[in-house]
Amino acid sequence: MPLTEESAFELNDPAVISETIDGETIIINLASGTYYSLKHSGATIWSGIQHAASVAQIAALIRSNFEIDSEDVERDISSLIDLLFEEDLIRQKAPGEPPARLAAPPAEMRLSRYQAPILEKFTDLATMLLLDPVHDVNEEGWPHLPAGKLDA
Amino acid sequence: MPELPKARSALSPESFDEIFSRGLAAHARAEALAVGPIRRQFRIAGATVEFRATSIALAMLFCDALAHIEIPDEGEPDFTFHIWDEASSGIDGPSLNGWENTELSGLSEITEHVGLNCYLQVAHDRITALIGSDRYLQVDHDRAMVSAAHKPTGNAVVWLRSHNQGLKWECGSPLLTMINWWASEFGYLAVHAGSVGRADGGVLIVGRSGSGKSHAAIACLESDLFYVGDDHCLLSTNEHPISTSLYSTAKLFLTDLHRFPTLQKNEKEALLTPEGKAVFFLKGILPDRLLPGVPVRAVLLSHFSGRRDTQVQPAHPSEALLAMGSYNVLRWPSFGRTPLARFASMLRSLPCFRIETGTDISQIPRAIASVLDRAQASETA
Repeated sequence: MPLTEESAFELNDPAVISETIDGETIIINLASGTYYSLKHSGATIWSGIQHAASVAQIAALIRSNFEIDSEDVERDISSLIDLLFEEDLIRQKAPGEPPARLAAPPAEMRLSRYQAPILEKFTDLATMLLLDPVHDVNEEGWPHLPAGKLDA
Repeated sequence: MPELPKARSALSPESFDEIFSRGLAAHARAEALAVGPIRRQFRIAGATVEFRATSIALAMLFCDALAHIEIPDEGEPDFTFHIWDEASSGIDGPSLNGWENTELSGLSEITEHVGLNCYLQVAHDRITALIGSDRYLQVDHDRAMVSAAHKPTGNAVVWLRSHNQGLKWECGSPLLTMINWWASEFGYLAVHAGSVGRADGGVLIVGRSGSGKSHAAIACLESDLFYVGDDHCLLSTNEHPISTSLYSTAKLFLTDLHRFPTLQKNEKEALLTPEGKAVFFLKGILPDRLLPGVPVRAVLLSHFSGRRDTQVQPAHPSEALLAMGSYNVLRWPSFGRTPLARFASMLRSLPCFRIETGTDISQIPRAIASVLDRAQASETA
């Protein structure tokens, strides 16, 4: 996917939920039953995406908050965003929408040594959802089918 | 069995309420005909819950696992389960015909009419559950069982074709989904976890199926630690998390029974599940070892090592969140983000350990006791 510095993203709400703890983000896709662990600088990038930051803003955030001796920050961000897209965890933010305030990275990660993000994927529980195939969610969290899906 | 709804059907709150009223009336008729209707009350999630069953067999099916939290009759309960079966009473279940008249054409309309928090579950092209914040309807096609609940009036109806139709093995954790739905109102979540401890504090044992949760919890039955649950607990994740006992059952594979002498002695009393597990009802075996709940002082991430010795080491809370969050969230996706946020909040404030359980069962409670001592010492410091 072609990215520009102004490209911004948002979580694929409401199917995608996440929590960051101890510098690691746990992401669950309620629609597919797949879940993920996002480590190292990934938690900061995820936080930027959550706050609709642009790619340039996320890169600046990382450069100002980590000890970096790598020139690959932008490439790492771009690769992770591609992966998150492929996994249907994020979507591109509509152009013209104002960016939300950018959040600082998790406190425990600030000024630590930069490490490229790692996204680990787990599919072992997906069958649990396949047994209960309707699991779309609305904003309140209760799954529901989108209109028309019953007619499929 | 009432005619089953089709996936294309929908249900308005008015239709649900009509179905539900008919269910209550049907139960009243079955109860009036019953030779010895049973009424038993329990303390669940801090509330008084009454089970009204039309036969002893039904009461055993749904109440035996809760025997340890039974209370003397307190009069008007907060919530009542009305349970009957057609085989013994001749009274059919609540007719679902109203559901088949497609009053609404799309599910977006259902969410509008039933309430924002609506959950429609479809399996094998048939609606099996319609769960809203106030109304709950579940149709178990395979076992011919219909259960429905109406939170505002504090009632549920549970109809079975026959008490012995494929449900026996489920009496180890009866009505789990509906109880979870109802208890969430009070800030409780049913979690797939074991819990043991002392009166002043305990641990939550999390991990995947087969990771040794049950082993670790059941091993404590032979120790000074008390038992809250081996597979499911009601977890209150407020500022001071509490794991509350729901079922006083213990499940073990028959092949592992030799490691647990007290339970092995009572093997004849156990119920056998189709998957080769024995379900023990602990109220009748070790009533003094059961606790209704404990404040959670630490979270243990279990892993069965296969070695002789049990070892405990600190774990990252993210590991525990990955294990308990993924399973418990995906099991009940209808709760959305709430459980994950609550688990994360709890794990940020509690110490986490990885327990590698070994084959020498006696080491497990000692290891857990040492975790509790460490957690308590760190709280005091």
